Amino acid sequence: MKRVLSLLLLQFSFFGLAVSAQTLSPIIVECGKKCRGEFSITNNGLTSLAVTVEARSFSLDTLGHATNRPLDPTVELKLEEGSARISPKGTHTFGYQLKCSAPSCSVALLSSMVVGHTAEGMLVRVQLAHTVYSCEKQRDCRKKVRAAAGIRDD
Amino acid sequence: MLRVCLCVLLLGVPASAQVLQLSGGRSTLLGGTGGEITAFFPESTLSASAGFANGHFVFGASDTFKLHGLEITAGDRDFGYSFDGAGLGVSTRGLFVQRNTRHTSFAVFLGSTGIGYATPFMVTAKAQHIGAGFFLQRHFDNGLLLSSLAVIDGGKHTAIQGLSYRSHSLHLAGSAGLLQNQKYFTGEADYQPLRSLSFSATHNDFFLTDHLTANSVSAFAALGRITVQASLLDGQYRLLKTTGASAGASLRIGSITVRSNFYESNHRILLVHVVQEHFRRWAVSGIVNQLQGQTSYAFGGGYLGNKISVSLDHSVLFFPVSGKGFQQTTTVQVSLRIHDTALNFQTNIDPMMHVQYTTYASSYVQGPLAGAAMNSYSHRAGGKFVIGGSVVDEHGEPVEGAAIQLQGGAVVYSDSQGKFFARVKHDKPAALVVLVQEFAAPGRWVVTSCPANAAPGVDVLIRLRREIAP
Repeated sequence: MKRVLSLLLLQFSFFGLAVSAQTLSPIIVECGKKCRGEFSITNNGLTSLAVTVEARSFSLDTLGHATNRPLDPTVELKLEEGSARISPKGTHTFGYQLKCSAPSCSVALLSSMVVGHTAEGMLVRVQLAHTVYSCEKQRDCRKKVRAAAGIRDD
Repeated sequence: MLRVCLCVLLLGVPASAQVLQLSGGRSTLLGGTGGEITAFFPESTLSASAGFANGHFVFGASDTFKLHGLEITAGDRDFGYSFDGAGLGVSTRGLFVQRNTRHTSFAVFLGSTGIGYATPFMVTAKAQHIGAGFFLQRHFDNGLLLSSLAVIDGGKHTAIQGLSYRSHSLHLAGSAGLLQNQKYFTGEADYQPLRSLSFSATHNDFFLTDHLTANSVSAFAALGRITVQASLLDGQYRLLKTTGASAGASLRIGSITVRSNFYESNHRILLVHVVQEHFRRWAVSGIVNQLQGQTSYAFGGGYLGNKISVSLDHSVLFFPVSGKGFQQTTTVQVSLRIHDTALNFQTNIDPMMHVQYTTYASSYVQGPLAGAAMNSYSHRAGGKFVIGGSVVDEHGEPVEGAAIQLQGGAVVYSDSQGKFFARVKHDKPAALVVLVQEFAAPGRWVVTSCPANAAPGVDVLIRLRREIAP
């Protein structure tokens, strides 16, 4: 019995919050000048998660690194929701409508969430991106945007 | 003294858990009614199940924890693996150890086996025989996958070896051995010379009360918006031999798909024509069935939302066991999420063509050690009017993660710019409440100014002061 109680006390002594990976899909979409889209975030953790969504335009350098900036005036974006509370093991889908009045638009929808904390008490904040490439024609839009930035995919 | 300690143990474990998961349900497909309580700790997961299966009381319990990279379960667990068309599931009570790495999956159990129930809402086992099991799967970089499964379940022995190979255009898989004392073989070949063209052939042995063999050959081609497919099937169960053939084509125009399929089995011809339209969250379909000169109509569809998903599906399945060949089947699935509780209902058709159902609910309860859990407020999306604003601290800096409740229960959170918005259906001012206990932002906050109401189209400014830094 002493052994059982010892094991029980040992379990009670681990009070840190378990951190689980969160998932977003799809990561990348290509669309024409006007499109309706959506992305889903799954809370793989055991506690509820507050998620906020922000939109950013971005450009790529020749190495493929992205630089975010406020949304370009050529992008007209209507988000259905700017935030959501996702229940444990639940999935939430965010919908949007995008209209691009430039030859091409690259938009990142950044989902931010606090997923736990370190042993020192520092909060761990995760940002996952859903990337939308919008061109005159949907096909090979991402490839064209990357080629315009001087990135060779071969 | 022992009883007191056991009471402390039974009451103390759930009370001190970070998170509890409560589940309960009923399934005619799996033949059980019951429930399960699972307590999640940072280093382990304890669960206990109880219920009735086929008129008998059943129970189960397990403790899963990690030790030196191994996942160990003591108690009841389903030992089930499938690969290359072969598979076996055994309910076990004992010690189960598994380890998964990038290339290798390994599992072993030692204890007892017996009739058990592994459902989303209940896991139980009955100790009937001494049992042991071993599973190993190894991925090789050249596309080979080697699998091995060995199980002793009382007097029944299983030893299956599987080998598969996958390249850019070819997938070959086969497994053979002894499945519950019976010789067994299955094979599968898929060849895809082009992205839009594929061929497939399969052979399977199944063991129900008797030996069942099923073979199929199929081809698929896609040309832009048009797809075509054809297949030949045959099955034998006892002395009953069933053959079938099918062919079909589909055309996609925007969000609309038109599909026609021809099925022939047991000298009966079934023609199914489907028109399906996919909206973003909705799908609707109209179905026309033509069977031996008789025409019938059906409608199906579904909705996939954040709170609820519903679907009514019609499909044609091949039933070699009942000897009926191709038959039209209808299945229903409903999922509902209310705060942290998920409710599920679905129907299935078993191999004997009987309709079975499974329904269960599952909920998460935050324990006292899980930290400040969020309350069960709901969100709403939709509406053409926007209520929004920004949240700043005493220095005028934006506050991220502030929770604001609008009249009617919807809660929204501010982003990194301190901005928040919600879409509402009516062009009327809504009451605004700042929920400081719900903040995702660290620290303790006090509201210094907040308008009582917010009107659509007019940005509001909420000022906060941080009392205690994180």
